[in-house]
Amino acid sequence: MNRITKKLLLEILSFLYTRKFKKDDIYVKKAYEKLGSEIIVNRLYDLKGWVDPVHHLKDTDLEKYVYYDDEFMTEDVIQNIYNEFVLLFKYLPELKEIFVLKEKHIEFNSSLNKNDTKEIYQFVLDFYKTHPRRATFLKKPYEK
Amino acid sequence: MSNFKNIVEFFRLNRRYEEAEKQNSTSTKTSLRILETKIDYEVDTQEFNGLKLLRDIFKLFATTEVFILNSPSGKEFYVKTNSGTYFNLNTEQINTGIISTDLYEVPLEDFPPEQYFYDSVNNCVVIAVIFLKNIQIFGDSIRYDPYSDLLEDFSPVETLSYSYNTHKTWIYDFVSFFIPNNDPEGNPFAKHVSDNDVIVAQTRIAEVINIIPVITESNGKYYAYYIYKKDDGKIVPFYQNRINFSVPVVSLTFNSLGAFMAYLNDTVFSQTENFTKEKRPAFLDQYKEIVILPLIRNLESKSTFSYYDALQALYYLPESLFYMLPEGFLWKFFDKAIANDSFTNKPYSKEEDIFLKILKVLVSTEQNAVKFIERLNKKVSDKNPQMLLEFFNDRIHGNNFLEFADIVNKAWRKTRFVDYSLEANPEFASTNGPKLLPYHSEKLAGFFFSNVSASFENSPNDKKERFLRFKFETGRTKKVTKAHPKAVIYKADEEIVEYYDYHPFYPVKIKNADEDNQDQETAIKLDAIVPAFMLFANSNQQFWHNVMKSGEYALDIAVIAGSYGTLSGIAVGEIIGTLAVVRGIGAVAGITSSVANIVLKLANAEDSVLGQAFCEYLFWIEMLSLSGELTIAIRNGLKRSVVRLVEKEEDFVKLERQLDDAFIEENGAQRKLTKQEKKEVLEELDKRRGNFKIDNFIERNGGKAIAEISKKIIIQELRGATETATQVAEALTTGKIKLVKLSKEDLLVKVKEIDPKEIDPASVLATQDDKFIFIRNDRPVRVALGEIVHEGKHVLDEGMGIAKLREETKLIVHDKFPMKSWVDKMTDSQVIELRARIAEREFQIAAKIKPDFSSPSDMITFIMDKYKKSKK
Repeated sequence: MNRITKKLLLEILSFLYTRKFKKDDIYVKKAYEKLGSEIIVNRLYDLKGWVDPVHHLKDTDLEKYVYYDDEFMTEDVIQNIYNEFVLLFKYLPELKEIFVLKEKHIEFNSSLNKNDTKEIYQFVLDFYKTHPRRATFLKKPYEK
Repeated sequence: MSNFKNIVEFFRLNRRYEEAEKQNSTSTKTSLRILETKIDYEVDTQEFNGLKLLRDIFKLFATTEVFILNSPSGKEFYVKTNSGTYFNLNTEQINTGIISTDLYEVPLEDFPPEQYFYDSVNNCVVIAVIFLKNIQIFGDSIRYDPYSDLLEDFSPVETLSYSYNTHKTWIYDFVSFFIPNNDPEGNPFAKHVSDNDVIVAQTRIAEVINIIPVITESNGKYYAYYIYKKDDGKIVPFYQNRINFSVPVVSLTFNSLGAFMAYLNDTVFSQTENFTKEKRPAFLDQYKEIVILPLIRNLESKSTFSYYDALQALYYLPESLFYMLPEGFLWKFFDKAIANDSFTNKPYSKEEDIFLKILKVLVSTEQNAVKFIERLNKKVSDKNPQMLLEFFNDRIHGNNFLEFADIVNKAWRKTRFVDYSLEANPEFASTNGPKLLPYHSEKLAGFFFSNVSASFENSPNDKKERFLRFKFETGRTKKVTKAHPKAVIYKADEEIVEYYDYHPFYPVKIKNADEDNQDQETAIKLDAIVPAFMLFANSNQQFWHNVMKSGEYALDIAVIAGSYGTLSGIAVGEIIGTLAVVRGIGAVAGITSSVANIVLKLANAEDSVLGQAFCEYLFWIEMLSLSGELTIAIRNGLKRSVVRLVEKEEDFVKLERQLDDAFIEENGAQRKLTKQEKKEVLEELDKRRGNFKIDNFIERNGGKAIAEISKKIIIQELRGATETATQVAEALTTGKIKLVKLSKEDLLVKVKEIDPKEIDPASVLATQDDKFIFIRNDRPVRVALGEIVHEGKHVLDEGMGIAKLREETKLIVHDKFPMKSWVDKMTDSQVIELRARIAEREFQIAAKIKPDFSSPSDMITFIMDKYKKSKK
């Protein structure tokens, strides 16, 4: 994993956890100033979710991240999500070290091999933890 | 010259906002308020644009106060960072060399961060007041300046007269004027001093003070103290601080509870309902001690004087504070008023007015409205067989009767009585009125004449029941044989008079026959569908207008009292013409006027089973529009009528064919529906049917695992079920919520990954991690949909600050259970959980699933128990 990728991932994971910037944060902070909280949080969460092994299910497509669901999303909604990713990649160009934005999906940069992607998964697994403030647990009175 | 009006105006909570608004509408300048000193100043647009917005800094550090350092070069302003260091608002540098004791803090006021700026020219933190368009734009600090316009004419101490709307009638004032200190009718409130006198004492020194007074009572006198703002850095000498508040800058002494409460109504309660910030909760606690608790004690006392004391307090008590009274209190008052048989206004107490005020508050909830109408339907007591409705009718007069009739009418809409069927209301069995009853009234020379008069009588079938008997002059005549005094027999025309009996709460439809004048002024505003009692009230009201000979009262209506159960024997067109749908309906009914008009034409033109079905459908749309809420009775009626048109999918095909063949009338000519019109009608019914679908869906699919149900179907089923379910459906549609269905094992992994400190991961059935909702895919649909709503609610709440969530939650009344008092006892995480549980329980009720908790209090107990240790 190159230095930029590592720093970018650390910044993203830290920001998603604390919603704050550390003193030496550069990349995400710069994009945040341009795009504001909603786009940054929403779309980075999408990307983090795709590379987070905890979210990997049997049917998760690890080759490409289809960021919409045409079963229930309208064309406008899909277009809107795409536009937000365009902006994200524009103001956070370091993302291109890891991802490539296509019209209907996002995939890994072709310069990354399988070991690189595995390293990214492990990195996310090691360094990301859900903030307890943003997690809730549902229990029922009648079920143990 | 000093005037107490100026004191009221100065301390009126919203005065500064209104002044700023007025100024803002004429000025291009922006008003700024210095956070520290509360002094206002103005800047032009260019200067305003040069201010530094503090929003992001405040948000980043969750700022609640600004720290000020008096350095040799001037003041420096800091906020505390999350690590406890101090961040300079001007240089945006962290200053690690600060000693906290060198700083003094100024709390932020209750404004959003967008309103805070740093003015580098004047070196101060300011609040931009022009942005604040909503309820409360100024904090509770106010600069008291004795030389300001409103206060300049006052002396340090003087007694002034306060003119307020008193609980006594003008007769009391009249008698008191001629017979001072007399006590008409044993008036328990007579005093030797004037109730209106207020002693006003002021320090006459400019200070920043709290606009929310400290209030207290002692020996029958009531006090309001305006004190120094504690947070302004001023040191109050210990000898001035021996009581619980600082020395007052302004103190007001009232001779009577009425004047005191009226003053607080004028300055505080009429201005805001927000009592959560700064000194307001303490103020409300004091008010409870001084006013509410004695009021409760007085009503519970057997003393007549205490009862009148309670009445006096109720007269002034703002409706927004009735929630402070214990549950059942108003019903206790209601029963006591009936037992005392005391409703008419007395010189010393406007009892009738007070009773109406209580009644209005009492019936504002659906549960109480139903209870009220059910109570009116019964006899007064075991000893008095009179129907309670009739009892009130005999006792409440004039304008109060108008209000009473209005209360009955509105409450009635929430009850089972809106349903005309005998299954729902066996009481209607004795109603024998004709299906069509032309009604006409006219005004001649200031008097009203009507062809219908009504009175309370025994029911024709059950002598124990009280019914309304309508005497109807038909306008038709018949030949009768009469005997002349001179023994001549002759034939003469005689008007046919008929008598009909109606249950007072039977639903009747009304039509304004005067097509050219749909907006006639009537003394009682009649809706298109009213209980029969309203017609009686209407004719009764004519009597009052005749007596009083005042006001315009040009009612010219036709009444159709139909047996809507079958609609047979009556032309659909005659019924349908009575509906207000043609004139536009309330938004709550959720039907566009274009669709309503097509349906209306169909119902009108098709004098057939189809037409009648559409007619019944419109009847319930109309009821929904009038009621403003989907009560159980209206929901059942609407559902019944929708099912009659399109119960199953295949019914749509059948209906489509029927619509192909249907003719409607337009501009005197008959035509078929266009393709677009047919589509709109079918969509309307499909949408309406959708409202009832969730319980059908769960009935059919409740046992299936949620894994078998696609996200599309989940979204479709959630939409329209409840307000939150709809919001969750929308957020799923736009990707703002991501739903992930996991196996039991995978969910456990996920939960462990989030690492709940105090919860056994194995006991967790669903979880939420920011925008992701994780549910177990083996959960049955019956419970899983509610769990999605629950977790979805957490996601929807994510973006809102906890302070806002707490405030919003306080306003929630779930299943007749107000949450306000509980929110104050809960931690933030408990409040967040409460919101999600309420959303889930609402969904369970709407979906007719047995709720997880039988009552809101059970739910709260569970939350307080299981989530108590979480700190958020």
